[in-house]
Amino acid sequence: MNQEIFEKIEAYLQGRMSVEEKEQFQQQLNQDPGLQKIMEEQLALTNAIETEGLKNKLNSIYDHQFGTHKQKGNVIFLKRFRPILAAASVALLVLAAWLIFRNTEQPNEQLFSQYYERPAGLPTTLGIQTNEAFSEGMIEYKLGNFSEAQQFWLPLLAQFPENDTLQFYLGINYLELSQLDSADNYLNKVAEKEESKLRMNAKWYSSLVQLRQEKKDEAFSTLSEIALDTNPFQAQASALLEELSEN
Amino acid sequence: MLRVLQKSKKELTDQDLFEGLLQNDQATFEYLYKKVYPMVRQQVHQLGGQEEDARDVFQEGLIATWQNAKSGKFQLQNNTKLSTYLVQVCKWRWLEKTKKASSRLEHQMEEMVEVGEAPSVLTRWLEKEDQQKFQTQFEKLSERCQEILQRFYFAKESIHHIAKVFGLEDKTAKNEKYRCMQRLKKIYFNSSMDR
Repeated sequence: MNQEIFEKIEAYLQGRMSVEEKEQFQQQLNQDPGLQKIMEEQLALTNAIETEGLKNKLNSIYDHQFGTHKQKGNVIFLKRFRPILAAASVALLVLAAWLIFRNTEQPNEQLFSQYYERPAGLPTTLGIQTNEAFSEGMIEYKLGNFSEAQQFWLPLLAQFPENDTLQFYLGINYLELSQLDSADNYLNKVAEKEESKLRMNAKWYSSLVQLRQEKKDEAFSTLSEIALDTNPFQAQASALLEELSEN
Repeated sequence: MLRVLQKSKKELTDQDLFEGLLQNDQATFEYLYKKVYPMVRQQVHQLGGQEEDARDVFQEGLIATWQNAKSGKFQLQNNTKLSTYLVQVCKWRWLEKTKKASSRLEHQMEEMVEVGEAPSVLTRWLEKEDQQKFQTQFEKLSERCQEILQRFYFAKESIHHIAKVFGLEDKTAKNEKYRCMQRLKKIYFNSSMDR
């Protein structure tokens, strides 16, 4: 049998033929018992391959979901089918990623602008806020001159590397400049500080950054943390979660 | 919060599930396993079976349902839920296996008719020996061949996608798949003749 016939049979079996092609091929099948037999063998083989795939798939689902006991057969099966399992799990990951991201590109950007409101900034009276460079930066920030604000604030990091107020506003500033990775970096530092008053603020904005980065899963879990806690962002976080789970 | 999380995992309709079966959709298999297996397990336990029996019966039942969906023997009907059908198939399978109380089996078969299927056309069970023999032969192929065939026929990936994964031209991937199938055919049908 040559490849041409093989491909033809496959197109027929997978329903990829036009009506005309199909009729013609069926006629051929009727007239040629040899061809009929080849087709049946091909069908039997592809069915067996599929069944084998499904068997493996079901075993692996069982092992993941319900497998508290080990079966000898499974270990051998796992060894033998590691490549296929790996392929299957890659396929699964791709599928999962696709399911998560397929129609989120536009909506997430929309959600971001719907929920994002820039923090108003601080009156410059306390702590680091009495620092002259910080105050200058804050004035620029309030005026919407984010590049300028950055020029005042970045050098301050050397002096106050762990200052949460500085980190927070730098994070927001980077967000305004659409430098999302840096934004996420600084906001996360604040979000991890148990004692910081800005902790929840940082979490909230961090979830919005993640949304803009199309990291829907991460945004989801950050928002869940906010929504489970009593804080000023709880209601917003819950509302955004609802929207996210709908699209 | 819980409500939100649950909501994010959408309930699949019977139509979704049926189409998922036809497409060998991995998520559909997982969904059915998670949702229906606990019911089947409970049923098998009640009828005197163990965990492993439940597992076997469920997998055979799901494979039979999948095969029936593909062959057209099982079609969605308004009065039958897919999960109900699957549970019944599994129950029937277990009773058939144990050959317990043949009158009860008959009764079960009547129930199946009510569900909308004559038992005679209900199911071609996975013949374990046949499939075992196939598995043995399939494993004689190179791992690369096994993977290509599984990706194409089970996971239903396109040739274009497979070509990309292996860093090949589409045409080359297509030829390679053909050669793998020829090899498998030769191994498998030759071994069948030895029987």
